[in-house]
Amino acid sequence: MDYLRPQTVAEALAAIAQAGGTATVIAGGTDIIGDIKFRGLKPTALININRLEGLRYITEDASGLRIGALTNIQDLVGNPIIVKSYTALGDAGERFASLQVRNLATVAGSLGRASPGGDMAPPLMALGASVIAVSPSGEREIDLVDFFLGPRRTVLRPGELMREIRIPAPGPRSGSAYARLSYRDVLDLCIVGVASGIKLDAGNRVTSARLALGSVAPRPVRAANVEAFLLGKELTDEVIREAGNVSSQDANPISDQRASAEYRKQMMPVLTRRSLARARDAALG
Amino acid sequence: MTKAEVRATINGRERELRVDPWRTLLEMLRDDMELTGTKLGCEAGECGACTVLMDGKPVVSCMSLAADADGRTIETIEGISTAEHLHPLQDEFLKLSAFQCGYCAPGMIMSSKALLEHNPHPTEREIREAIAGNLCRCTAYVGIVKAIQNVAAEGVS
Repeated sequence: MDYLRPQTVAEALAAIAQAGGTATVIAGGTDIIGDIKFRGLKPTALININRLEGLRYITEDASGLRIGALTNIQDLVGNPIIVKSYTALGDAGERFASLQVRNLATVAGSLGRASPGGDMAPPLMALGASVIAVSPSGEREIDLVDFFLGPRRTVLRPGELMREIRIPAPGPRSGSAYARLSYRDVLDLCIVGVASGIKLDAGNRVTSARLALGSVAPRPVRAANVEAFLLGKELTDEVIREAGNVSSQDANPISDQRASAEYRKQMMPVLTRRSLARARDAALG
Repeated sequence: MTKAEVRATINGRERELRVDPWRTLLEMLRDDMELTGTKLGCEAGECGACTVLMDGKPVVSCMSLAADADGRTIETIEGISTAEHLHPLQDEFLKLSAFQCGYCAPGMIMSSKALLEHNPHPTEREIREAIAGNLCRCTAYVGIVKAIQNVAAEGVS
């Protein structure tokens, strides 16, 4: 096995192109190492991008938030910008695996893994995030809604690397939250996860609603029925309760070792309500 | 076969190693350097027995490439005491019999040490959060939390 540790994005892209599709790109390593040791992954080359220069940052300007691809999950936790304006992302960061994993795992790595229950995708989708992917032929921006194809499958092409995650500025009277259910709070994959991103007008009517569901479909999905239901309504407790009911139309979860389809279906409304109530608090707080 | 070069400060000493690219930090510490205090538990990043500090931050060494230790400072359970003096956390854990089988102890102590270094006076909740990624299958958590609280109260020397 060849081992390469490029220093720059350009070097990394060249190394990936040269390896011709049989190389494995590794950053934090917390998934890939298990793949190599236990799940039969046998790359001809390991391209370690963990030290690429200038890809670990969280910055905000008038257009919104930019997160470097190699930003660790733990970098999100307690970050004042995220706590203030991108609450859902902070919620997800806090409950991601464990501190020892968060200190290694990267935000882009988690997205690239495309786990149906991954905790980074729903909050980023609810916040309207996109991924900037680079390849030798240039850069493109991919809306996260279009990014996931299924478990471990994304629209990223061979030879492409994620460089940045962008979130548009949420604006005034907007709030977001991520509510997740698991048997343990720590080191436990999500049974159902619901992220909400909402904007309210002066009368607390919903002017924009984005909700994303995790662990209830082969890929993270938007809750289109809930979004349509909320639009234009004053976000009262009653509306939040009803929105929960509507959420059961937005996915058909399956049974697996963590939970039955029936339980997930019952919990979708509960988590939707929790998520919306907290997003409202964040919008009005 | 390409080897990866690792130059790292491990328990205060500069070390140079050549490792297989997919070798984990845990394997390098235990098998190449005979620092067997760090334990292999689940080997999937889910139990915390292999916790070491990388640049002061707790990480699961079973899910970290040895090659990524290059240029970094690694601290293991062997590095926190001398032959004569245990670390205050080790003293307190012993005094309270805060372990039963002891297998989680090295990881638990490294997580506790990282906590107290950046937060010398944690609340009980902060302590529980800090060790949430370290499983103790003997469920000795009450004693473990108490030991950390005692060390925090006395101040780490």
